[in-house]
Amino acid sequence: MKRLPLQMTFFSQVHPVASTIYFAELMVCLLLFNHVTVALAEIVGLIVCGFYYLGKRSMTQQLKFASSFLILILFFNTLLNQKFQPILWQFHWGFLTYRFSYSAFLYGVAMALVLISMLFIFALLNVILTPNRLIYVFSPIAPRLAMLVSISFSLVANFILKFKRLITLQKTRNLDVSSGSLLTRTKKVLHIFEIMLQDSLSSAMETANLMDARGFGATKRTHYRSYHWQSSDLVFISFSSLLLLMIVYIRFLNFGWSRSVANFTNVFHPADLLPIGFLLVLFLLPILSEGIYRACTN
Amino acid sequence: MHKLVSVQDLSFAYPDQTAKVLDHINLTINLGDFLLIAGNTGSGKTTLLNHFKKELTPLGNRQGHITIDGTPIDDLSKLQSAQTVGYVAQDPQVQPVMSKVIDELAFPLENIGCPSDEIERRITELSNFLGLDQSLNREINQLSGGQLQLVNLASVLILRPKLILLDEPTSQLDPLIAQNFLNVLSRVQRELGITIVLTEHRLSTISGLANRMILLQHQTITFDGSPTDGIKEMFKDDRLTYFIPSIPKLFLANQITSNPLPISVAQGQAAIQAANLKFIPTAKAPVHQSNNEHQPLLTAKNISFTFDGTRNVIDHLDLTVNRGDWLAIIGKNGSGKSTLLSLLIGLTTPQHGKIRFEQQVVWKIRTADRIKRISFLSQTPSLQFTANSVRQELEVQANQLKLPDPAQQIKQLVAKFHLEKILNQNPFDISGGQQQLLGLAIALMAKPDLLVLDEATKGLDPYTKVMVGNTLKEAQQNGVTIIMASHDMEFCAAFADHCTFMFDGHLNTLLPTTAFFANNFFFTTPINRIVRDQVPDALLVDDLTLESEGR
Repeated sequence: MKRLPLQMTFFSQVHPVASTIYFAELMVCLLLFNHVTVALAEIVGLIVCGFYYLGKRSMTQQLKFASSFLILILFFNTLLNQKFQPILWQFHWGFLTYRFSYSAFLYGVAMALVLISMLFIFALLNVILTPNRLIYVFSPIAPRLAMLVSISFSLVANFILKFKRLITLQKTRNLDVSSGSLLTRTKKVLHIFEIMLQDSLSSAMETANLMDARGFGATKRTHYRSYHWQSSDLVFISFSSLLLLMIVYIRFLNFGWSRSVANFTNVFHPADLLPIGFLLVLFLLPILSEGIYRACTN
Repeated sequence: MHKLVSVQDLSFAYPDQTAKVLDHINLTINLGDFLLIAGNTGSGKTTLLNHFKKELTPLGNRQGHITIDGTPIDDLSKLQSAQTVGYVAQDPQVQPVMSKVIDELAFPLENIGCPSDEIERRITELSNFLGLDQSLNREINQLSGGQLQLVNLASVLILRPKLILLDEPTSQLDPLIAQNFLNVLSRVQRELGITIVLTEHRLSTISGLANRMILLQHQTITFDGSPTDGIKEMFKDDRLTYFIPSIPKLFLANQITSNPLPISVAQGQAAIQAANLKFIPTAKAPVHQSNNEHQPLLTAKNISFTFDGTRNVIDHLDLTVNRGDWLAIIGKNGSGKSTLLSLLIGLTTPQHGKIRFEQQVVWKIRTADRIKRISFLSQTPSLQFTANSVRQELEVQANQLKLPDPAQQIKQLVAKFHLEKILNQNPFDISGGQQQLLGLAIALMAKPDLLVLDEATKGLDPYTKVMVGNTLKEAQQNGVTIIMASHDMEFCAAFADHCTFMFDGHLNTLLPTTAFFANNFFFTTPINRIVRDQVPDALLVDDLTLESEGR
């Protein structure tokens, strides 16, 4: 099926303030629960949205990265939580013992899913809250900061491109990050970062002067793009806020949350169904809204 | 005439330097002028240009007065300055700050507090005038160098300034795109009456567009008049002779009186016909045939490469480069030349086909061994730098190559590429041309079997270009094989042995340089265009001898 251009979707047309509030709500939700199935529901919602708004290719790449990230977080969580039961496997090395416990494993999975979900939220935010929308939202509070944040968004893309080129071209100076021991490779990568910094600083000075030359800071900035509240924006943000209130209340009742790693003994708790239901609706709200929007369009 | 800029007795020296860069400059720029500032590299062109924009005025010891539209430059508010004087930099990549073209155009108007409807009206009007209306929603990082420079110009023009300053705006562009950009600039001056002041090395197109030229020599203005008279003045200076475009140079070198001095191909052809000039080929010493000729050094067989899996940038390409050859690959921006070079030296691996350097698959050669035999200069030399000073940069390379007498080798290269004055400077802070020279010095240090150059002459002034060409020719005679991607027709015509055209992911048949250009109609030298009826093989001024001047 051919993907709808992003600018034709409902979510990309939501008022920037409404979408900023919605993303903030998603982040709050991520911090409220720590059960595996709840975290799984959140990430499933975000993956569905990701495939819809970011596209198959981009989302597949992010999932590949997320899987290696998951293993890393899992490893550190099990490493840092050694005193829990039941122990599934252990490894002795001299006087050191590494215990791989079921509780630490489940806790690690939940934490990894929450962190990866946070990254997916930022990936979505990056395409929905484009730089000019970000400027619009944050300019009344901190105009210069908003401008700098927006510029840094476009600079990050250039930074990644330049970093890849540097890695390739530095091979001509015998700086090959794909060869040598881990320590040698790390040193080489750090040196490449140093080069990158020098090069970026020198061009950033020129860019700053040219911004000045085009009147940046001369007077209070205006905005080319103005956004007006539509009734659909109000319905969207009211419904999502209502859902958030319900979710906070559910968390207040201690659903979907365990205080200690020791309590992570089951993947699924029947009581988790309540937060899962509300969270799925909130996280899939943009997709549900797309359906309603399509039904209402001519 | 309305005086827009007035410079009175301006002298300037950079901090901690006693030598002046500008010395007692007096200049008036009138409203509607198209002024070209010419001069050698280091003659102070950019320093003078930057003095006309308050925010870019260099720090240092300054005397004299500058007024813009009657107001002393220091008294201009930021708002006035932005709306009176615009500036376009040499490197198209450094100016944009937004991610989309439309936002980049809106940025300066938002800065000066324009209301939303006014911004929209100005963007609509300007984008239609410059033909950018179909590109407004494109991502900035997807634009070519030429398109980006046009957006940079638009982003300055949208403030409706009275004066636009441009510092070598086409030095990073290929010749056809550069010509288009300069034509747009000429339209801006003619149709909108905006005053244009620019520095430029490539005088061939610009001399025909500018109405006035000043020549900076010995830190001061030595000539102020029409570009054609300015070119005649440049002919008196040994070094500035290199800057003269080949068509007027042909007439000046042969002392052919033609008034006005021809600049363009059409003017040159008309002047030849009017004076009934007859040219014959210059007798040249036979070319020395190397014993190594036809010994393949590098072979690429059936290679294909794609970045995104949707389109082959390199498509089933075959190439054999013989030992001792100098091959020039010519093609437009984005034709895949840089990708091909990256594949040929093993930095990137093709999805299909094999590339062998002698008998080894090139990407399988260990990096440490490869840098001793294959050197590469990318079109962005700064991305190959690794140290904090020019001296260190050379020392690091000498250490990597484990040279027997590094100090002596470095000394020779420093002298050859005139790097003495910048030895202690940070390589990221030196000018684009100096970075290019440092990159070449590093590349040649290994005395490689194969030297691969990507736009080696980009940003170099014509005199330095010839110096670089001669140095590379000397290296070639000492056994270095050269592959070069270039837009610079005259440089390729003067130095390469073979040329080929890159198109649609593959290379056309390799031809000897003379045959290549003589067969071309669009991609050839101006000299070939004006005398191809008389001497089809002539590519450069030196290829022609005036036989008779009939009336």
